[in-house]
Amino acid sequence: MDTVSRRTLLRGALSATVLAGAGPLLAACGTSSGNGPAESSNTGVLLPAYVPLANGPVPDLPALPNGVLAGFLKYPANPISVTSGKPGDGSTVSAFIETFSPVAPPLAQNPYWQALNSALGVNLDLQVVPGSDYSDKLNVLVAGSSLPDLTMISGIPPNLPALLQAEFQDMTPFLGGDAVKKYPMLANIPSLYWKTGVYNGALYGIPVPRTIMGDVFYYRADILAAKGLNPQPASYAEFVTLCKELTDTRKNVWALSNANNSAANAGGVGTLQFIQQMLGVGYNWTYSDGTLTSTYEMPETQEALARTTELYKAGYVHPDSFSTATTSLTTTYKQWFNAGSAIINGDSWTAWPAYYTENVAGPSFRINGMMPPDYDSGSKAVTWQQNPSFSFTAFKKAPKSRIEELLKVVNWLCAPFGSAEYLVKTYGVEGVDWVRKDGDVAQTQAGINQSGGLSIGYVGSGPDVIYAAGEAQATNDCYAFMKKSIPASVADPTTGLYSRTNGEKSAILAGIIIDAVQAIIQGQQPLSSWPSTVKSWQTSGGNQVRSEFEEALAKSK
Amino acid sequence: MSGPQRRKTKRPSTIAGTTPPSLAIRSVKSVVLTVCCAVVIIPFVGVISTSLATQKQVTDSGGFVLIPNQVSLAAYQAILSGGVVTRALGISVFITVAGTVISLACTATLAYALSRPGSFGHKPILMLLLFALLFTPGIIPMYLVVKYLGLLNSYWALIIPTAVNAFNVIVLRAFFMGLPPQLIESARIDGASELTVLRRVVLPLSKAALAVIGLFYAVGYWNAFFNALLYINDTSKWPLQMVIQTYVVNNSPLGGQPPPGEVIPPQQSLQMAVLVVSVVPILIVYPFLQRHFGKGVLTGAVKG
Amino acid sequence: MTVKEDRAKAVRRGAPSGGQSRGDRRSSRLRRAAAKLHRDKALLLLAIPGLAVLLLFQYLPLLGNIIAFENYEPYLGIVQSQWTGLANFAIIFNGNPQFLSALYNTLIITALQLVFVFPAPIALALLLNSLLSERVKKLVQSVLYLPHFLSWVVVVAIFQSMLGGSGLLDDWLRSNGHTTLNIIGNAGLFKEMIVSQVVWKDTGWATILFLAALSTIDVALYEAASVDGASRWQQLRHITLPGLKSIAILLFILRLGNVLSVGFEQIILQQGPVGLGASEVLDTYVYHNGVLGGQWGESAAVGLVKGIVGVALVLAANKVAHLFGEPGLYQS
Repeated sequence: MDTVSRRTLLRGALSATVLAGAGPLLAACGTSSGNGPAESSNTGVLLPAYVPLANGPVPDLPALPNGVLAGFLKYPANPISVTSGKPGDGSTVSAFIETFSPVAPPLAQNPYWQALNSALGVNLDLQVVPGSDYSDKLNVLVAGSSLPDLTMISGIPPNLPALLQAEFQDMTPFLGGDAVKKYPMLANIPSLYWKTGVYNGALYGIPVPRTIMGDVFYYRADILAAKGLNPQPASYAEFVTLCKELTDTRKNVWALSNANNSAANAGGVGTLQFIQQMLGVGYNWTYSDGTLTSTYEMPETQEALARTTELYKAGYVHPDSFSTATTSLTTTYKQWFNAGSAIINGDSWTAWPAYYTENVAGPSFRINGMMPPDYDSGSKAVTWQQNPSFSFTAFKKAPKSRIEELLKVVNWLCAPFGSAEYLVKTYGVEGVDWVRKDGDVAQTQAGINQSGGLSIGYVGSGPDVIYAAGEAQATNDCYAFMKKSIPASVADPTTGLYSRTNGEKSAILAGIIIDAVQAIIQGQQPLSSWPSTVKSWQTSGGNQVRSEFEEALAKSK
Repeated sequence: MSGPQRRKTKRPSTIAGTTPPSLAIRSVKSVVLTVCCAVVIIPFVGVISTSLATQKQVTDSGGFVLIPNQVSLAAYQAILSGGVVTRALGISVFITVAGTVISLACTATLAYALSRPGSFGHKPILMLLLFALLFTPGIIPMYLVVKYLGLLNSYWALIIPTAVNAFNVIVLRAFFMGLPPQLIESARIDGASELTVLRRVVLPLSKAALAVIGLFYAVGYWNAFFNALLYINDTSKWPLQMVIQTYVVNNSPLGGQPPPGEVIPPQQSLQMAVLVVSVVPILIVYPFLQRHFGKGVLTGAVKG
Repeated sequence: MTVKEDRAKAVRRGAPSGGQSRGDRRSSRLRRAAAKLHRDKALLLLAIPGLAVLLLFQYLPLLGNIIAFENYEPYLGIVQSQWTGLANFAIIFNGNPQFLSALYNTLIITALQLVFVFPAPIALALLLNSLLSERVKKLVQSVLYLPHFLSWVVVVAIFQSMLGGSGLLDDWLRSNGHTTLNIIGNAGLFKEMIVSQVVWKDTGWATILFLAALSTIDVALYEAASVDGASRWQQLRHITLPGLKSIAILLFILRLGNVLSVGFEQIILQQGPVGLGASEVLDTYVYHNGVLGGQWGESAAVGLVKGIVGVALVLAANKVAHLFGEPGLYQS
């Protein structure tokens, strides 16, 4: 007997986004760069100049111009200071961010927060919400004219261009071209990451950079090594053989964690997607001669669907993969992978160190990524790029002096990994929040509690790095994999572009596709029903999305 | 006449003169109830076990543990250290107690005012109540009202907007209308004001109903989190359920390297531990309210 | 009869019967109303705190539903958003297949709930009430209400670990060589599963209200009946059930008002495995289009229509109750 008030309160509450666990990838948009970060704007906006920091922290594994991130095996023993003095003016800086960590203690009981305030020279007023409730809170803040100084724009809220224009500051005069040189930490962020914040031909915010490398198709390297199997099949046929050898139903072990990662429409890689990559299918769309073709419309996708159905029928896929509730998708797949009941699982690259933290297999545990092989001699495999930035930070409209004050603060926050500033920003107070352990930095439980929930990294962050605390092997493996994956990758040509219908209808359109894919793979519907699904997708909004994107693409040339 | 007379009588376990039910019926009843209880208890045991389980067992068992091999308090330590959960617990207790008192006061008075068909405005106000039940305002207009009344970021925003629940008013009204009218009439004839009638006659006779409605409100306040999400920016003012949200819904691991010499509790254990912590206060309070559901009131009250 | 009521009656009686002018009749009606107001003044004063909260926090924001007629954007606000008249309501009438599918699913689930979820607590309350031992009754009751406090996220996780493809049930089946059932991924069983989850979660809790109602039945009635030689069945039929009747009917009428709301959080958590075709209901449809798609006006429009349907059903059900001699929600 739910009282009505509870039910109505729940009406707006999203307990799980349909595309759960892929919050950062919800955008399915990013930059349209094919290779190389140092790119001039093809959107007509003057992007900030890229001025790499001279005398910054030196990584163990160097970053590469094509987008491979720098790697650090340990946190530098003597971190350099890359800024001088306090950036703030003693005022209060308010920010709205989402968090994926438990709530942090209030300021009075939070040495980490106090240290951050002191280093910045401001009072941070952080309004955090759990990631799943982000849209509701953003909407009331906008509608109630209660926006704080800084707002994290996560995903693509509905009507984003109009929203940005109405409520947020155009940052192009402050940061475009050489203007960014006033803020060295911001200039240290390569241009390709800035595209995330470009709408209406103007720059609206500072990105939180990640990488262009998309999801990784992980495999349990330790298990494959123990069985003496080759972890890099050279064709689809070899891939099938590998799956067969890995599956042992009597021991409750399956080769693949899922057939179609239903977060897949947001960049997640399941088996279906992996086979698409083998066949050389582009990511979401392919653009040539002024027309966009959707991946769903390509014959290779139907073929990949057929193959996936065969794999599922052969029993190589974990039987519970289609009966997992939406909230727990990634966690559940992770669990199977950790437990060894699924040997291969697609997940984001950031999960690489997390697997080590959560593993229960002991010191022999090792994972690595599998590159999609060429399907056969007639295909050329590709990997998929994702949106290189996780989100961007927008500034509420304010007088010039205030914006500049805020920029100084965000500039400090964007100090790169390995610097003294970054140590305070991410870890906190030595002895309380972190200690030195084996020449590296180790967070204490207090440190995790105090810093996690504040998620200050979503307000400002410098270029991302590969760093797995205490797991040098993970860092090296990830770096090596990135060097393989990025040169072979293709991007979604529509990333960074806005389509209104896509914003409004993405859930419905995704639903049409996912429903059909799941039914076909499980054998509830024949493969021959796929073309009618595609037609349904087209008429329910897919065609409209296509034409809007084509228009935007034409304009951006 | 001095006023209504009451005798508190405990309902006898067998009514004198009735034959007890047959063995067959008794055993069917027992089986049904045992099955019901088992179906409820087993998952709860699982919740508690998972909160006490180690990472290895959680991973091996697919995330839900029925019987832990090894008991680890790491999850409880993690959530109770740092004071966030305990603080949120205190806030929730305050809001629940204050809210329930305020809600009961507003609801009982309104329900009583509507318990006299034919009184002035009876039907329009009742229609008002019904519409309030069936039409729900959107989150944005609600936010605007709360904001312009100056309640943003204050604990009152978690109490006052939800102080009156139309459903509860209607149910309590039904209970009031079920009371013997002679008692109320006799009090009024004696010149008692409406407020006195309410206080001295109606409320004491409605303990069961008040306990139930009070429980409904209390649980509503205890479980509410969405209004905290919208109206409270300062996380130090968040009630327990809001804190739980950040544990239960987030999908990322606790983050970072294990602290020296410590073990990071598994995700599921944290979630279940927070859940257990949030249910315990209700388990403590409920038995006190339960007394009121079984009382036989009104016995002999009308005769005399 | 109080002195005040006497006087009111006298006033009424004092009005001349025939040959009144309309103005006279109106003024006498007004006088009667004024007298009633005067009589019930204290009563109305009591209603003020509750009404004030309702008006401020329920009705004032309800005005915001005007956005059902607008193309509302949060950054424009209510006043500045473009007026579109009835355009937002088109979704209900234009035969949109997803909407119709959602409506169909909603109706099926609500029918199942009315048949299974509504009576279950009544049956359970009667069962508990008939127990001889107070102690067992209290113990069982305090166990059964526990699931109500679990959030849907946890309940779904529990059901999955029991009934999912690699959950306890299927593991046992698989290790004994039988074919697995995979209940969670079965689109055909989705509605039944949703309903059984609600029964599991809320039945124990819902019995509280009925137990409270049962406790208000005068014990003397039972004593008198047993003295008259009535069997337990007869006591059940003639004392217990009638004692429950009015509250059960009231709750049923109110339930009808919410017939188009069958749950949101519970459903959206479990749509993944079975697909939107089998699982989309009105509230999740509105969510996908409204909140996620930024079409606020449309969600407000559907909300308004749901409310109107609810009101119509409640009023109709109340009339039907009157036909059976029950007081229902209110008397005319």
